[in-house]
Amino acid sequence: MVIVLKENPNPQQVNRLKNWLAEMNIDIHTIVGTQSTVLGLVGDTSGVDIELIRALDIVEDVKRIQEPFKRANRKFHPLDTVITIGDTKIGGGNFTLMAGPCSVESREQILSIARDVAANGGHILRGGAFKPRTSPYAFQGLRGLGIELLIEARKETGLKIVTEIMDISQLELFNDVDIIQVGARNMQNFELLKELGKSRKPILLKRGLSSTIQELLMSAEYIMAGGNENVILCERGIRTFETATRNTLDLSCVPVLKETSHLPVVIDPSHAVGVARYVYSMSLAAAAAGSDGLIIEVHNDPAHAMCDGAQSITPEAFGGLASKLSELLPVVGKSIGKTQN
Amino acid sequence: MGGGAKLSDKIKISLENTPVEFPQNAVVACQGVKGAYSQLACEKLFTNPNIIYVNTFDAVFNAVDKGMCGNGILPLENSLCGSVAEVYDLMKKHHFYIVRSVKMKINHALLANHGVISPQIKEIYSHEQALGQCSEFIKKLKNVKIINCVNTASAARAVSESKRNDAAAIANPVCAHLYDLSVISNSIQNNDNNYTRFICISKELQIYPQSNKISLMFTVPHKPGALYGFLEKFASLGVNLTKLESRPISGSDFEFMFYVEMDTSVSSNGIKELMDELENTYETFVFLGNYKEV
Ligand SMILES: [Mn+2]
Repeated sequence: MVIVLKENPNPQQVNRLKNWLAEMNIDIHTIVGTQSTVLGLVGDTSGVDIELIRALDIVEDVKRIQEPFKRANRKFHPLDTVITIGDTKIGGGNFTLMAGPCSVESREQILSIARDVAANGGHILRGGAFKPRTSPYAFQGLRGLGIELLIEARKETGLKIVTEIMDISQLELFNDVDIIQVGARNMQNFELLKELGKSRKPILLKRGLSSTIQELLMSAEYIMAGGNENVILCERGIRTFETATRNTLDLSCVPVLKETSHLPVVIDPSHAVGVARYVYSMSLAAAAAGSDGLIIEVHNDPAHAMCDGAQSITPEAFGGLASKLSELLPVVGKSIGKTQN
Repeated sequence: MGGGAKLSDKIKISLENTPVEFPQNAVVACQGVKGAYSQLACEKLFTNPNIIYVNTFDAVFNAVDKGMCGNGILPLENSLCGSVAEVYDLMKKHHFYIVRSVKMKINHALLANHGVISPQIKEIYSHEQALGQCSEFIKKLKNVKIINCVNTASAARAVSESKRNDAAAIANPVCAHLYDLSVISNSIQNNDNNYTRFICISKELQIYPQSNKISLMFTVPHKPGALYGFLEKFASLGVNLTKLESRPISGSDFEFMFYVEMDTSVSSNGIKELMDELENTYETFVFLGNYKEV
């Protein structure tokens, strides 16, 4: 349920309303907007007399939220959420470029790619330290050392860093990471989501390969229910009958998520198509569709990458894409850059 | 009602548990906005109320029933216009007790934005009852359109917010200060003996010392002498009935809910016993409270 208050409501009457709701064990989420204040109610609101609330002089409108996701719901939070990490903003008209290798392979590799990403307009460096691989015999990542190398690359380039967590036990190693990624395979690892809800670090939550949009939002709700509002949703392709591409990029999720949620939406075209030469088209399409950013696999030697080389684009290709995006984005009312509001 | 303890037992428990002093602070539901007569009545009862304004009488009952407010203020009758039918009809729907009543002298004024003079006024905003109470004054103004509002104070607020120079409101003069308006004419009611009685309700039965009024609500069967039979019991105890009101029960074939008010208290001889008897005899019998009028 959401309660929209009138402009400049009497604070004593607002307090009484909030206390009364709290007496019924309802959590209140207050969003102060430029025009009006919205109270989002979470908990069992079935006993709340909606007509009584509507009759209050301080109340403009009351709506019940039918969807099971509340905190992630745009009715709860009409304005876009903007996540700020230092000078980088994600969401709300800012378009953010995250790029880097599938996995951190060596010091030389990650530093070299980081320089290229920074030089070509990227904002955030991606790179896997813990790798969820289909085969147990495949490269599993540099683990703790990988994170240290990412931190070193950040120090040198000024890029923020995002990397994937696979298990709760690794959480301590992520203290100095800017954005923690939850991979597609962990999207419904509810214990992990609850733990991340206690953190205040931004979480990049990837959609499961066979999860619905609502399931993605419910996973975001898990994190937000713990008090962590900094969730970035990420579409990375879903499994369909099509074999020409690795997955099918569900770009229709962008307008759906933008309508139903206030959280930033980032697209991962690399894992969606699995073919480097298709990444450019789908990146432009994602930007045109209204997403808030891209996360792209970039490698300086794709042929010899330890994983996902086939879908990795070169730093030059990334640079070309970034400059095309800077022409396209103003058309859809967004800007590429670090300190837009 | 019924069920559970006998009415006389509930009354006994209430007499033991009600504090000696009427509270000074309370969260109180009032219909209208700041400056409404309900607010003035509320402030006559409580020194320091936290008033929650709602836009319907129904919500006043609900706010008390659902625990948002400890008390609620409702107008019951006006000396010029009679009973407030809507409030009587809502009494059937809600569970509540009257803990106090208050009589307020009503004084209406014509209010408009600063600089506006009487001949400019083309529209007058106010509550139905206030418009009725000032009908002679309105008649003397030429070519004015009357606009009904839910409340006199919200009429004043609307005129203020409109910033119009051809509109005026009829409301209590305190609204002039509250909504930054000027008083064009004061005391414009037809008759200076203009009083409204308000009740203060609570979810709990509370009987404070010096309570000397009892209110009841009941139905009687459709047979000769039924109402007489009910009232006769009070006559035989020598009780003075001060009000008898009847309201049709919606959806029924001219069946009525009766409301009585009388000058007596639960401590008077035979009253508690009579309450038990009436509760057992009549299908609908509601003890609405024993209270003092201030
Ligand atoms: Mn990969």
